[in-house]
Amino acid sequence: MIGGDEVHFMYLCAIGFVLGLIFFFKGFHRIKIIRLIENTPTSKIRSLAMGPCELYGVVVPIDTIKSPFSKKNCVVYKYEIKRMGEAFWVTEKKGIKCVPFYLKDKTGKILVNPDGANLNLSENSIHFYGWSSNLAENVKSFIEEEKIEISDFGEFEFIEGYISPDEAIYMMGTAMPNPENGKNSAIIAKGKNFFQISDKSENRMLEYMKTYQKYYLAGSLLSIVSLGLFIYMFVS
Amino acid sequence: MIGITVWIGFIVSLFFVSFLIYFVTIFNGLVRLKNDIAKAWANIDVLLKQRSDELPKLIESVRGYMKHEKDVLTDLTKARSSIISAKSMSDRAKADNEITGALKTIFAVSENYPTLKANENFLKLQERITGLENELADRREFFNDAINNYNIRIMSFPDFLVARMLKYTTQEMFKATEEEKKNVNNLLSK
Repeated sequence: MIGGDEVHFMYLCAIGFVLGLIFFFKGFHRIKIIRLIENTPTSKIRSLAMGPCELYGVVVPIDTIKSPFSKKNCVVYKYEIKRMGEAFWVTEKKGIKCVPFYLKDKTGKILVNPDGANLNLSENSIHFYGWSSNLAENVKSFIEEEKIEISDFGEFEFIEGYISPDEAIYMMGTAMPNPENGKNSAIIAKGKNFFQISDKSENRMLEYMKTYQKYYLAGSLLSIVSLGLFIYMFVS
Repeated sequence: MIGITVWIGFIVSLFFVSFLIYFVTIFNGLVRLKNDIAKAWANIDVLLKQRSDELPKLIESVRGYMKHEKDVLTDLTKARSSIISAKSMSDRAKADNEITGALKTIFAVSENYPTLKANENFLKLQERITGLENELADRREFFNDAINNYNIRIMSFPDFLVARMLKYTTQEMFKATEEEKKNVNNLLSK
């Protein structure tokens, strides 16, 4: 007969197994993306073929938006507002905003619709402790404009990442015909394939992605160990 | 006893499943790389066809002016016929190099014919073909990158084990012709 403590332990093992499985599949998915980025040669805009492609270039804006907290001109931004809870940071709100822009390299330029892209951007953060009414004007104005509700008091972190005009970026997306702009024009957008925009070089981005691989690997081991312990408890 | 049997069964199953997942991942990756090469080549072929279609117009536009440059025009005509009749990738690559060489000669020689250079039709064709040549150069580079990625992958451990099972071998890149290398060496030695 299994005792109460052993039942609790088996529940923990089952939870560990499920969590480990989630880490395993996330890690597996990440490996596929890392390999996709490593194995895709970089295209030049002038000779771009329709379909999945990898590009480097400089941002040429058509229109700009203001980054949420530092109010810099940009074409894409993402933000996250975190608050310190009982023991760890809790996300109160996050979002992304973007406008179409041109990507230019030495051979030409192409229209990009960044909607739906994974954004791998360098981030800046503002750390704040106190009443939210004492927040800097920049931050307060964004919160009011977006009608974001945050706690009146606490420890906050306002994180933003953005892409400025003339910034060099890396992109992996899908080139498709854009008949609205003329017979032979194309656009990079989210097709059925992976779509990522980064302000880091390919090597730095891969380094960053591979760093987190070890955590996913540890999670997979957790799954195996939990399952093993569960079976052991069940059998013995 | 039952416990040990279950444990052994569990560990063996684990190894088997892990091996299977790893094998399938590598297998799919290699298949993808091989297909990327085929696609990169097909994208070059599209431009080769476009360039090939422009060549008769170019030959017609220069024929009247360059009456004494029969060899140049003959080379270009021969090179165009080679690419139309070429079946394998290496034959098409060889014919492509011949056409590129012949076109360079025609455009260089056209400098001696001011009336030809002023001809609007010729200028448009020259611009179009030069544009195609630039795009072809980019796509050859892309093709070589695809080949490089594939060759590295099938020669690295543990992918080479799967590549051997699939009988995948290294592929050749696009290379400069001996004529082009000679021209560069001549240039560097001056």
